Amino acid sequence: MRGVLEADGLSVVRGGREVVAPVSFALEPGTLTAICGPNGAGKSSLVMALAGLLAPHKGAARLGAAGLDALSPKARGQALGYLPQGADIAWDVAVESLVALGRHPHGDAAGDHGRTAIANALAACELERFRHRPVRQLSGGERARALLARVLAGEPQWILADEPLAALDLAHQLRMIAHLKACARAGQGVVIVVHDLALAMNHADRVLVLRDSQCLADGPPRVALSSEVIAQGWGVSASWLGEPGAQALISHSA
Amino acid sequence: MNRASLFFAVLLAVIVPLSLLAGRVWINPFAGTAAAPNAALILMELRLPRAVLGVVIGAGLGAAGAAMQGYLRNPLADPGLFGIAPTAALGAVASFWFGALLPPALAAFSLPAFALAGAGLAMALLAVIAGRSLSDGASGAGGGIALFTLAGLMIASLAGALTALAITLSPNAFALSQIVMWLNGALTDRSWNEVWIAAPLVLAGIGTLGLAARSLDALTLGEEAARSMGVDPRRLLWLLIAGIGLTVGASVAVAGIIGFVGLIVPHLVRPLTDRMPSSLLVPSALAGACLVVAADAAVRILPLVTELRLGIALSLIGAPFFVWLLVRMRRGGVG
Repeated sequence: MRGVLEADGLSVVRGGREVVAPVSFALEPGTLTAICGPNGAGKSSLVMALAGLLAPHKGAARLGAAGLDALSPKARGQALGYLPQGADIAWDVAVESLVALGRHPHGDAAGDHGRTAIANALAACELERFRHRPVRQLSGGERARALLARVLAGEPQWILADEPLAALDLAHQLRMIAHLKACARAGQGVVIVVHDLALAMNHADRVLVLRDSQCLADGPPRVALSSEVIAQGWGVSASWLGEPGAQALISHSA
Repeated sequence: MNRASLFFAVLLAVIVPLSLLAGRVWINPFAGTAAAPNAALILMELRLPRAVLGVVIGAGLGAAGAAMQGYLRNPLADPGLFGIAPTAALGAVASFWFGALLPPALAAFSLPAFALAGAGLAMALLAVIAGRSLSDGASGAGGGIALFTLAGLMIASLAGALTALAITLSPNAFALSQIVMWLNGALTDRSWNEVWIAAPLVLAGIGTLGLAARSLDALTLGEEAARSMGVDPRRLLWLLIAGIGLTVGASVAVAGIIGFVGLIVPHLVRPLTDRMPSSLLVPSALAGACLVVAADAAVRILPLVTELRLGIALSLIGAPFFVWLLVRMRRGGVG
């Protein structure tokens, strides 16, 4: 049932510009992949293409054996949970109603299973006490957690989240990434865009580094986020300190 | 049925009977037929069809407004933005020009028929534009909804310009006054005929919008997130065009342009719901019916020489409301 999420010579063109140059990789379910890179590198476009929301210019994105464009919108929505970057919320709905939207592809927000999934997602994002609070009364970080909980409530095979941790405080960042790792251990595939390289280094199973729409590095974090790659990708001279799993990045100059 | 639906259903059940009693001739339900010998006739042939038509049109405009605000994710949206009302009105105006050429048997229905044809034309144009603007949207050019709305506004302004042209070129003063009257909608002297024309179309339209309700909820999180949850933007847009076209087109065909209902009503209803577009649809239909029936009863009993047009009356209420709304939004209180 759980399928490999694969990019096969996938490139994306938006507004006449190639924002993702042809790239190939296969992501295994049960792993956490971090996509890193400087601003404008094409990270968001790549995630959208993996979520089936941007048609590939060339190549294909596949889930298991099936091309994403061959899946029905409903089946795709059930399998791939996508969290857009900094999504706004049009109406001042209660947190619980917002999270319940995650059951939309299943159509069972009021059913037993749906309600359990919503409750689990609220618990995972520590939102139980905000359940009835209108979203406009939440802080930025609380809102980001509510939006992530919406994706979790859909119980997708793959969680594709564009900067889910950016607005969170340190403690919530760590708890949230721990939860995403737990999702991966339970068999879901997780792909997140992160700017905090230390988070990627310490927690990801695999890191893709993009720069100027090209894939600069792809591999385990120690390899893909080496000092050389950071110098190449970001133009920053930096080195890692500390024990594996709890490393910090020291940057020397811009 | 949620709390807001129940509230407005009860309110409607009170307003409709009261509105039947109000007018130039007040009917006392407790007096015998002696007090007003033609009371039964006034009720059955004048006031009841008018009240039923008010319910139908108000419900259609209220539901259309709720759906439109959900679709554009904007509390300032109005069903008029798709350009269907002005195009239907243009059709009605055309009937004042061409109706005389038709055989008398058909001439009685020429106005609603022309107006519906106008609405149909607007829907067809929107469908063509939708096919083009969304084929880009699917490949991620984005702004599909915004682009589409701009196209609707262009249709509205084109229809408005053609209507103005028809007014300046009107063949005689009578046609001129007819056109101007029509552009300010009213329920005066409507009969069961208009009810039979409008009711099925408006009901079908509200039903169509109901099919779109859950997709509109998903749209709360934006176009990308909605698509990721399996919403088909093309299907949603078709449903919106058909639903708004049927409700608004049928309303204009029988009553002329009645503005502001679709704008105000969802605002009145929203605080009583959980604010999801789907939970707004039915209560907005009921509240729209209440507003139109109440406003129509009010224009009947105002002591003026000629009856105030309903469309004008609602705009008189609507414009200050809109300003109040904008001021409140600046303070960040609406949503």
